[in-house]
Amino acid sequence: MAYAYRQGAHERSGRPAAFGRRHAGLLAAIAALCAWEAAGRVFGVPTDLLPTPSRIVMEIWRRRTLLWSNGYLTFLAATVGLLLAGVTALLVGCAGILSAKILAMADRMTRGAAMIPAAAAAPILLVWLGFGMSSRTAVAWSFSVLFVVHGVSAALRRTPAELAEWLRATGAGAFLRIRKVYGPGLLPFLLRDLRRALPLAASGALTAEVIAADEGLGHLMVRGAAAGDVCLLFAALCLAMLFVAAAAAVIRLMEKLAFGRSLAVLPGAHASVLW
Amino acid sequence: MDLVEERESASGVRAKRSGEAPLPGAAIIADRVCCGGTDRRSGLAAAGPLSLEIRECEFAALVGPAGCGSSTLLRMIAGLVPASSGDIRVHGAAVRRPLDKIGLVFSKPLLLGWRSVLGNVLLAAELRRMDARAYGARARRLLAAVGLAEAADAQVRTLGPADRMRTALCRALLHEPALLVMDDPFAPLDALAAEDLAADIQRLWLARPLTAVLATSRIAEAVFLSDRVFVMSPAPCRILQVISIDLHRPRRLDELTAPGHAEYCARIRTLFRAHGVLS
Repeated sequence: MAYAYRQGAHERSGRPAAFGRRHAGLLAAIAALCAWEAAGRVFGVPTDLLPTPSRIVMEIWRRRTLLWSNGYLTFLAATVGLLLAGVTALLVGCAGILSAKILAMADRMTRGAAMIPAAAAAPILLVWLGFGMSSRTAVAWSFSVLFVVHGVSAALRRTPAELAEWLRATGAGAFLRIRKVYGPGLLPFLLRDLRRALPLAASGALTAEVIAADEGLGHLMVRGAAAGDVCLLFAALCLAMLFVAAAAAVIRLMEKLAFGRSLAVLPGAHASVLW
Repeated sequence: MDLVEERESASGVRAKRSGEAPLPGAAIIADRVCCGGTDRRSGLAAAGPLSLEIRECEFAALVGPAGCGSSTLLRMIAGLVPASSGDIRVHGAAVRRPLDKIGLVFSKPLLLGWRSVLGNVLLAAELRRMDARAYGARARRLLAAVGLAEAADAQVRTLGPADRMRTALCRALLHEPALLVMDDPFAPLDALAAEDLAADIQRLWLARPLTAVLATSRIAEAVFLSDRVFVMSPAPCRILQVISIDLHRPRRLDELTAPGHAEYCARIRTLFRAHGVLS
């Protein structure tokens, strides 16, 4: 009887429990925002020190034209930089498929280059390329490219040696191997790494704008900091976060549409594409 | 020619063999072949020097403990690993590069997750630039022969380990190779699934005459499938003895415990015991 009662109770609480597990992060974020809002109102924290979430939303709405015209440029630079990082990773991947030596070399280079602080290298790119979209895109690319290239080369290195042997025994050329086997096999890893590298690309674009730019969200942040306009700082930060979240959702949707549930990439595993 | 017709024509080949008539020429000749030190990257063991001869349409098994070099020898036969000395000839031609007319099965099925079961089998034709549509019917017949007709359009992730290996086997046989090389296809399987797979391998081999070489550490499956078993020593890789398996075909799984089969297994175990492989 006690068992039946417990089972019934479990069934009754099943749906909310499952909802809670699935959306635990979202619920935690909502709770944190509510706590922030309440603390701001109860303790009367000055707006020019820490504005409440409702005030930030109002600020975004009030300055929507300014934020959008500048945010658009930041998003464009981050997106193009990220896409270029993807193309670079694809080229390195193709070269790695053709030659194991190239793959090993690319792997060593990405490890070595990872030791260079990307933010410190950003001014060099800005000096070389000057003000404008190209330099911001280059910095966004430089922030994200190592991560994406490393992800693709790691996926290639995890490919079983027997697969390469089997492909050699079929006599298939490099282009056919890439088109039929390696390309589709690497695509889930590439999309996953692009999604994960999104914050890096956005950070790159913002860093470039903070260092030297007369437009963009990073530039607005510098202006806000100089004028003590904390609301503008938070509004720009929230917009950048929203961009990263929205772009990640778009890539996630692409992954689902392209691969369904059959090719969900598991962390550190190649088994999901190769059985 | 469908599988039934192929089986009938193949039975003629087997009848000649059971009558102890001279067999056709050697399909594989390895003459004092040697492969250098253990390859750290691929994990392949050093092999040789050793010599062996596998006859046309023969089913030969290389049985030995892990690291005995049988996988290396198979790769040398397939042209995937160069022999550091000696000579290997397959169907009369020296092996200098990977042979593309052979069927290869590894201990991992290596099926592509984004393709269906049938798509994975047809990949062998697509990579060899053969007309995949023309081979579609043969792929379905092969899948039906191993009991996967219903699963042809299923995703490979839905298959069990044994069925994945069956799919890999069908993929290896799609282009009708004259030589089938299998590197321990039983490795990822439990004992029951391995026996079941061995029965399917025999059925496919009987259906169409081809030379088959199997490397495995499973004695019972090797005896069940083979015409001759090459018993191999642990490193340094040597052939301890060649045992001819004189059991009628087709062999049945319930004969695995029959006296004839058990005697051959016991002989191999005794050899291994004498060389310290078994305690």
